[in-house]
Amino acid sequence: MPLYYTSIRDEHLHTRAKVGVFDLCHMARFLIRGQGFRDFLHWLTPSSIISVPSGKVLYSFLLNERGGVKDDITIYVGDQYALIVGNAANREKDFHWLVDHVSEFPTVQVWDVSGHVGMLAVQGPLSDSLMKSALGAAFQSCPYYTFVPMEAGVLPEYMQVEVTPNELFGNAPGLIYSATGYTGENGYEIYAPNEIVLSLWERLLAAANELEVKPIGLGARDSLRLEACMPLYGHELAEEITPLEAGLARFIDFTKTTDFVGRLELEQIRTQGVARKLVGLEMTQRGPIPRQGCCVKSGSGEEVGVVTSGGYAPSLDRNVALAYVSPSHSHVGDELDVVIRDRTWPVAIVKRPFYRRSG
Amino acid sequence: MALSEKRYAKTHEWAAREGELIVVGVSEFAVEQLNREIVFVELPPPGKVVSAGQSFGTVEAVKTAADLYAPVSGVVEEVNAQVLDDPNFLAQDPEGAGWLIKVRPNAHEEWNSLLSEQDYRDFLKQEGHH
Repeated sequence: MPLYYTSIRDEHLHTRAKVGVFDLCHMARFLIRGQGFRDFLHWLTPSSIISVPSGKVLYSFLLNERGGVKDDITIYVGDQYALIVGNAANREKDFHWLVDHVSEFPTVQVWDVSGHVGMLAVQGPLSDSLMKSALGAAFQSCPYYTFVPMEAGVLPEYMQVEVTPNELFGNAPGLIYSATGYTGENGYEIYAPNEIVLSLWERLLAAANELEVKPIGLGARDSLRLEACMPLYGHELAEEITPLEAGLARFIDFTKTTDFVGRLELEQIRTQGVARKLVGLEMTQRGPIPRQGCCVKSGSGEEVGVVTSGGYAPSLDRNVALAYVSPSHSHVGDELDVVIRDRTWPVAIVKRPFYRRSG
Repeated sequence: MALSEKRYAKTHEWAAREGELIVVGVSEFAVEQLNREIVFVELPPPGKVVSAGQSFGTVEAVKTAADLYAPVSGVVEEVNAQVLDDPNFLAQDPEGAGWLIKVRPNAHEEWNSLLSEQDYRDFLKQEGHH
């Protein structure tokens, strides 16, 4: 996936206005199957996996014993399997974590299928039209954070290619789509075996004339997620940061009656209160971009936090940032300073997300 | 603007004589490297002293910030307010309307150590850019 195909700003605005296609084959994908796979994930993650209906996608985490985030993931929960999607940079780390912890569940298997199954995303207000155009009868729109396995019988002709028989998958389909994404727009993520994914990519882009679809690079993927205030691992999330500090407590199911990895620490932090909070900062005047590592100060010059992500927000035409700040300086409307290359610039804490789609 | 021949620094700034002043900007090549996605330009105010080879400002693109290095030493006489107000002037016309500052030079021999346009092109080739 390149940083951009034409320009970050154009690709960003195009995704907000029309529809963009993203090559996400670099992401990590793991298949969890075998009897008891739900019990395994119910214990390993802070989500309720046992009770969730098949077909749901859950935003969740792999947590370390300190409640810190090893990775933020999506879990596709099926009858016979779960698909876990993680960050590319964490692929090996995640795989080892899964394998190390599965030993107590002898009937459960963990497979790294990143090299076998490709991943694309279709994002933007015209996503449904593009999906229909490329997938035909194999596509029906589905509710947010659910997924649909595509049935072989209704696949468009170009997708009916011989797929190398893959014992990894068994009855787990290699061809699914979900109403998920990382842009703040309506859209879908599609998983397809390697033999199919390239022709699918070409078919999606071939709709360029009728739907003005464009390929979107990594730069716009980052600016889109930043405007939507979706966390990025290595920035807002890390081994030393818990989901509670990141404002993601709603993805931790404290009502679970059983233990899960990291629970004890998280319960303690929840009782004591967090030492820092993630906030959205908006620059109040034209200025340089506050980037990761920039120091955040109070009006009196006291250091109160640090920027985790920052950038130019094309939809708002201003610079924004996410930062961890001390709870006493974390209220919407608070005015702070950010230090960029030895100069301080005024910023204000604003409501998150920076951008919310209309309708 | 009537400019003399342009001279270039290896750090991709250009300089041109305009009467007693030297106009300073960044090269087409440098702006192209930033994919012309410039969101902010930071320049010194008039009266500020700049030194050859030292940073005098920043060009901020969507993904990175790049330091600007003064091709000659002297005092800033004028700043291109248009560029400060709308960085697109720099993005679209870096060697014309997107000039950055005018400097009253205090070391005239520095001009001679800058690269001619042809030498700059050869330098870019050597660096493997074209």
